[in-house]
Amino acid sequence: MSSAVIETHDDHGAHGHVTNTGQSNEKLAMWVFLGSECLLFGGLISTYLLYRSKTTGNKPKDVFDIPFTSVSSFILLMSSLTMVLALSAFQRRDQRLGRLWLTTTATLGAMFVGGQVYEFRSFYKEGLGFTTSLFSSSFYVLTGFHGVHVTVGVIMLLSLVIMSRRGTLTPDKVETVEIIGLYWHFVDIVWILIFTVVYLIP
Amino acid sequence: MSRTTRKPVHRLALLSLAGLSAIVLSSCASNAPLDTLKPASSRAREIRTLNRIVYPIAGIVMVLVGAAVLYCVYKFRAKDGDEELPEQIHGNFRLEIGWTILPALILVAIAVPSVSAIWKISKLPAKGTALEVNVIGQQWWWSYEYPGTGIITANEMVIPAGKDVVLHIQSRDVIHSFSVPQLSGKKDAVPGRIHDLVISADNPGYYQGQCTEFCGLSHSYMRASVRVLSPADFDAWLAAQKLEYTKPADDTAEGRGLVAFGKCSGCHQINGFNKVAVADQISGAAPNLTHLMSRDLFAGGNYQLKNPDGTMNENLVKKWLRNPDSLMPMAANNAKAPAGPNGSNKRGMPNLNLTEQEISDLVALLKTLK
Amino acid sequence: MTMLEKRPANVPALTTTTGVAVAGKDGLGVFSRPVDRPGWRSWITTVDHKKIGLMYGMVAIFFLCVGGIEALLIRYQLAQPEQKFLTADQYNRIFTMHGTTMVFLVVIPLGAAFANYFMPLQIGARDVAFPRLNAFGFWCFLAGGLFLYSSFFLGGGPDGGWYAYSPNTNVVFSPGHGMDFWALGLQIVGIASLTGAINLIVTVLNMRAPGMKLMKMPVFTWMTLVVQFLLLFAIPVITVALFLLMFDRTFHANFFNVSKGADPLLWENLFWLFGHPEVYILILPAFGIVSETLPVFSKKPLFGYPFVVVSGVAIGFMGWGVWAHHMFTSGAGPVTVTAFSISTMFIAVPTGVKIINWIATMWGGKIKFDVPMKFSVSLVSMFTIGGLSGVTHSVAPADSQQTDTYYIVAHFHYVLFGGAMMGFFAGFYYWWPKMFGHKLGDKLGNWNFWTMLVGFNLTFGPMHILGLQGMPRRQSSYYKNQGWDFWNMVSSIGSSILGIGILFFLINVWVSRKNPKCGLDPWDARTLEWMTPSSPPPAHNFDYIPEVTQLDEFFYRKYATDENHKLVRLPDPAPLPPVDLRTIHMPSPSYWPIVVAFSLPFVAAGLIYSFWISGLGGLMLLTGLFGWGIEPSVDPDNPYGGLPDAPAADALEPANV
Repeated sequence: MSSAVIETHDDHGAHGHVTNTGQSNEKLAMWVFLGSECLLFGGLISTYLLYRSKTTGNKPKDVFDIPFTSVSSFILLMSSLTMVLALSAFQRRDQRLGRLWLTTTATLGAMFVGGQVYEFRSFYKEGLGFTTSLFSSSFYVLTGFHGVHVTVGVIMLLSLVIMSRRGTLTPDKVETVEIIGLYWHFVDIVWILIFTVVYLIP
Repeated sequence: MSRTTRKPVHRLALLSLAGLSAIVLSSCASNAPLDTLKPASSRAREIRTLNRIVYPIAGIVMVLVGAAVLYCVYKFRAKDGDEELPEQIHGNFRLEIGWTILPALILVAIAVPSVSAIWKISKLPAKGTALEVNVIGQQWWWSYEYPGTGIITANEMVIPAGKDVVLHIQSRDVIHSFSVPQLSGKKDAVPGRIHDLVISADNPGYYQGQCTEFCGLSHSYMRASVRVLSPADFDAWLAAQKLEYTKPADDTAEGRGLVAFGKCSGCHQINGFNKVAVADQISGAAPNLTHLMSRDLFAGGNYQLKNPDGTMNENLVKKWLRNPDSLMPMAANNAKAPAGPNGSNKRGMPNLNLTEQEISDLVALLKTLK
Repeated sequence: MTMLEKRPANVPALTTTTGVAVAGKDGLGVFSRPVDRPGWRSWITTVDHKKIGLMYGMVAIFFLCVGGIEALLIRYQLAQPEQKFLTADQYNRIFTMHGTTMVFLVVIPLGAAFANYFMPLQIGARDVAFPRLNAFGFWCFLAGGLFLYSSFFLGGGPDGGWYAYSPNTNVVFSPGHGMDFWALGLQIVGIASLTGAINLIVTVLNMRAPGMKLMKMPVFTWMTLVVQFLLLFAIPVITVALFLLMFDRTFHANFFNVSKGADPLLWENLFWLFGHPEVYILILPAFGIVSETLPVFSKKPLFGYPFVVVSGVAIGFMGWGVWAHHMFTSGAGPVTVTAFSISTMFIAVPTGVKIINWIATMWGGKIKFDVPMKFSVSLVSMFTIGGLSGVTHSVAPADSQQTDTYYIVAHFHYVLFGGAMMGFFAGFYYWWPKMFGHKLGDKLGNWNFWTMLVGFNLTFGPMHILGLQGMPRRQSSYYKNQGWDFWNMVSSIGSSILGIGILFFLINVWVSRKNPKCGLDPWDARTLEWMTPSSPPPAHNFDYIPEVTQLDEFFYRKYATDENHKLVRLPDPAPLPPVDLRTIHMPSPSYWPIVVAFSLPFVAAGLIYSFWISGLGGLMLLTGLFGWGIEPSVDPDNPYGGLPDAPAADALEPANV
């Protein structure tokens, strides 16, 4: 695919083509989508803040295991670092290293989700069910929504790994890694916010 | 359409406009008990004063804009065959600034009195100077508690004329809204919250209201009424309400009625006979019947309890007891509605399938509850 | 993201989890990639923004008729006091669905219809940024709407009002499945709005014709951009609210369970934080439309273009700061009430600026009163009335009398019917020649206009009086002695006239379908959509993408100033040589958008009835997503999107999303 052909033939703003903003449609769409996601998490966090003190039975400080969650938060933060390394490897056309870092990122993400599942199970055993109180409902919904986002991210990362293995993640499509990286960093940043609001603020 | 055929249309429009405004003006004189423009209290008058500022301004703007549009339509109509373009004006910066600032200034003129009225109306009278009433909404009637006196009544609130009354508006189930337009603006009854609203009435009389927040099946039948008494009458009313019922003899109709009342006593209370716990009710307990006959309205405030001579309207009450759903829609015993987790069919008054004997005994009992 | 230029030799034909090959088309029957055949099948698989726009419009008009019939039932019930035509229960369900339908299934989709069809044309694009996502959005809208209405056949429609205040919508108070259908159906419809918003924002920002700077975009495109940003940020808020409601109803969460300490105002705040920007989502497309028609029919450029644009953007921003004016009586303290009262008053300023600029556009023009112009002028005057009654609401103490009375009903119908619908009808009549190659009939158009105008004012004008006389909204009946009989009767008669007006439109559409072709530029228009080589435009929209040098580009290609500084018409330019279609690559049709979209109602139905239905829907969803993911946007075997015998490609494809 030569860029000359693109410019004369393609008006769709695909890769390499000059768009009005200079950003590809896909990347712009991801930014726009993340703008929308801000309000989604904004709504969920507001709900949690409104209801965090309304609980019967288990209070937040009774169930939270701050050291455990700190470790899993750290794991998620590290996955942002490996994501950056993955992108840089792909940009240097080192697909093998890129795959390695992508797999690492996905594994770290999966570990975080696993930690969340473990955490939910132990909270449930301590008597904090989904329907127990306003605090529990809003806690599970907020962190659950975030967990679903991480899970979707892991699936996308693994798809990239498969694409790279099959040789379909050609250099002109490396931007896909960047776009999914944007999503991944966003999900991480949201977790920093959630971790602070839910676990750290007394 | 050519211009010659248009002229009669214009005249017709003008005529119909004149006719319309005549009808509008005449209709305003009609008797509308919920009219928001006929205040009978200081706060409702405050709102009317605001209206008297805002409506003329809005009206003038409407007329000006309408006139400008009509002028354009009339004056700048393209003439047949004239194909030359009009002068191409792209805008005028000064004009734009002007007509951005002008509406802003008009709005400032509206904002100043509005804001001062917001604070004036929401100000609570000093503690102890006003009568307080807990106004509690539930599907689909209002109950009124007079704190510190033990008095609970339903469907019509009783207050003295010429005195500020602080209403503590609450709800036992869904959101309702308490509104008696002639006495003040409305205020929502939100479960879990207490909202204060100050009302007053200049003169004794009846003031009508209605629940104005959609609250389910029978929302249209949830009426609020305020009976305003002279201060002396009000004191007498207070004293009478504090009495307990007198137990009827066992072998009379009234006495049998008390036995039949057992079927009602899960929700209805007669002070001195039974006590109702509200906790297991979806929509709060039913009206307290101890002084039923001191009220003028029943069934959500929809129906006159008494004949003009002051005796009970027995036929209507019997109809109600046979099947409440025949007078206002009730969710209770609604076979179509599956029971929710807490027995959601406990909303409104159920049909208890009372026998005719029970009904007439109950009516005999109710008549004694003065 | 592009997938395959040519399928590499080492990759076998891709297969889905069901084992059905999705690429390649030998011997696959219905599973082979669709090609753009004529006939109904082309509509199922289309990714053409124009076809999608038309489908949005058709379905929205269908729902307009459904919602209109509901309105007529409401007015029949209220024509006289104490009527028993509808039971209270039926009435509650009907007014709930009337509001829900008109807002979510009529006015938003009509805005989407016009945006989809005309925005890409106005910016000189060949399609939107993500054509399959666009198709997916439409099918979500249709699937969600049908799902919502299926509740009437499955045990009763929703009964909580379109605003669904908790806790009245909790299982305890609304035990049927109606509100489940409502919450889930709107969630699906919301996906349409969200994906549409992302798609159209990217399209406007990225795909404008060369030279078209932001301040050279037509106002309709500008308003579309503002509306899509409002949707982008408003939809997630209602999404959260609907999820909370759904969790409460389906999984017994506690978000609106007052006995556990929940605050019902959470719903009110979330709903109106969505709901007020929503008002501008509904009205701004119509503002955009009349900003196009008023200059065209006045033969003058739009007066104060930058001010009209900036005021539209300002409305978009300020629209986020006024939501609590829906809750003046919900117990907010005087500080909050004051703040929102003032912010509400001042949102009238940019709106006023628009109205005055429209009048200034007409001022000094040579106005042709074709039907689109009649509708446009009526928007200017009718919306003004709605705007001014809105100012009377912003006075919070007065609003405490007006709220939840018919005065509010009058206000928002003047805004949404007198504003939005009048604008959309202007749009129908104005752009019909572009969409179908012929005009809608003038005579029936005039009948359509006058009956609608008169019927509308007779229906909603009296509601101002009824409201001030204290008649509350959402009442299934009212008593005789309230002084409301006369005006209710007038309003009901008016509604029948209004209904007849809509009927005239439908008849006009039918009768006009064989009207003679009317040429490419029947109104002497100003914007790029009238430059397409045919009406309706070809699939690729423009043979040559125009270079834009100024606002109203098309107009100034037709007119130039002579030595007397007067605008004179230029001779028609020599026709350009026919374009070689092989140089234009259009996205290929696809089955996957409709497969994915129609899996969603099954997932939702499973949440209501039984999880195995969800499983079925989930399987369909995953299959669809997988198929979509591995399908290139442009069929490598057929890159022109045309019939398979079109010449072979040198393979290029637009975005694969």
